[in-house]
Amino acid sequence: MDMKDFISGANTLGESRTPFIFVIDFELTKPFLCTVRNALKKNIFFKIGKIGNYRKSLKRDQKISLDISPISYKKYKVAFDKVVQQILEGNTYLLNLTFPTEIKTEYRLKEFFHFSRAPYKLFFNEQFIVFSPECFVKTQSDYIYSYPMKGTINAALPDAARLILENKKEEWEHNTIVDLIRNDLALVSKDITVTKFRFLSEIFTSQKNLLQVSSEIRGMLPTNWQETIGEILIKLLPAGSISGAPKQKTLQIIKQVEQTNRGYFSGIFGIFDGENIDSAVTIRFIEKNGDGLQFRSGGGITANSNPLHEYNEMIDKVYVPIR
Amino acid sequence: MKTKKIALLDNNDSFTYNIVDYLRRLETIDLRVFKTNKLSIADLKRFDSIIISPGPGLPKDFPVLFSVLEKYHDSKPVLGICLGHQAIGAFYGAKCRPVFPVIHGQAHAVKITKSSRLFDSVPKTFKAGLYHSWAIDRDTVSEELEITAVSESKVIMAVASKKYAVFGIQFHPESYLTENGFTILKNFAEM
Repeated sequence: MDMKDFISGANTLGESRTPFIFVIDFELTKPFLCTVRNALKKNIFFKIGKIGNYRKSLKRDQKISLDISPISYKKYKVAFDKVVQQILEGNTYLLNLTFPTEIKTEYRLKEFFHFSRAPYKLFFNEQFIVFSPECFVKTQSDYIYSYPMKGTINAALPDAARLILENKKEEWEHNTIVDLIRNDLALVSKDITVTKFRFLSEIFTSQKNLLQVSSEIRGMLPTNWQETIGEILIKLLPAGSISGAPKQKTLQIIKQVEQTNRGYFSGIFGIFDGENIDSAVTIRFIEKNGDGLQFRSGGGITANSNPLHEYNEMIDKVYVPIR
Repeated sequence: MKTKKIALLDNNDSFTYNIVDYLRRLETIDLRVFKTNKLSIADLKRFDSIIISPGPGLPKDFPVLFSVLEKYHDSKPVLGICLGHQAIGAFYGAKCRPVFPVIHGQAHAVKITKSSRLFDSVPKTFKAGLYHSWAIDRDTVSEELEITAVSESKVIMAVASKKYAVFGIQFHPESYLTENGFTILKNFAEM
């Protein structure tokens, strides 16, 4: 399916208010679409907000230990330095730099899917799984909402909430993403408002609990927006929080420094329930790579980023969230 | 009724639609967005005024901006934001210098140093969102321009032509961080 087919297919389902699932890759080259009714037949399991198509996840109380082999710091630093040079030249303000990390484990993809706890989960036909904490967009009565997430801290640190909220570098990066998402929502809706600014939420992982900083941004959609749902989704992509700003120039730089395509990682997936959209950014992502598995992760690079800190953050994000 | 036609020139920026979202709240404004890499100067003839968006890089990377300014600086109001502001500076002979450390996503106090129609109903000092790694070099500002606002660290935040309705602002009026950003855009739109 190419983007043109995706748009017309989504618009048709939107117009007839037929529930469907969508999965779109970062490069916008292999979008996927199927009705909710057909998802199981295509070996797709999901939980998106309150809606899912499988029975309760398996309980698991022990930690899941992963044997991980990230890229070397030396290799990471080469890419990082190129990004910082581009920031100094004014070509980007914020760029999300990501790399794959090989993981070795006794578990299979399906088991990871069932063990993990997250508001947004997807098992995509033995190719990859996602357990994403980050909403991309959702709609409710002709309003569209986005929840960019920028800023993470170990919740166990003393005074963690104050530390992250008062950290200037985190604040500047968050500001940038808020302005970028306001812009993106204005492509498809009007009267853009930041309805919540820098609120905290907690994430439970197998290693530690994290505090994440998010904002809520709202725009007003035209009535009967469901009939153009395909265009609406595509205009918003790739998601600002995992690309950067200014988006177009930043995407060119990502291509140069990451060198491989991201594929479904850092794309989006979601559901149209017949009336509304709920969707997630495809992060916290494990995919099959030949005989092995790889986890993909990264973080936002700005003028104030420290390379070792960013490298460690990329590795810290290689986790499976269990209760 | 739509009474003013404004052309917004988009330099492949990711904040352009924040400007659009503000301006379409004004019922009298008929706004159209042009990508500068596909712009022909003749397209702008029927518009009353022109806004030049922010963007990556330097003014020299967008040569069409100089042709636009050459053709319309003396006949239509022009507002340049960030890169657009630097393009106005360069058009009148000023040079850009690198800012270090670069300022991205920060709110700084901007002080109005010379009254300007653009700043009608705006307090003398206000917080504004900044995204820049270049700025107009004060030592190269020509006689045709005046500096109308500066930051705490004395970086040029706004310039205006002494003779024509040509305005440049380094800060981003469309940013969530900017107080009075909507008023500034409205002031320009209604000129």
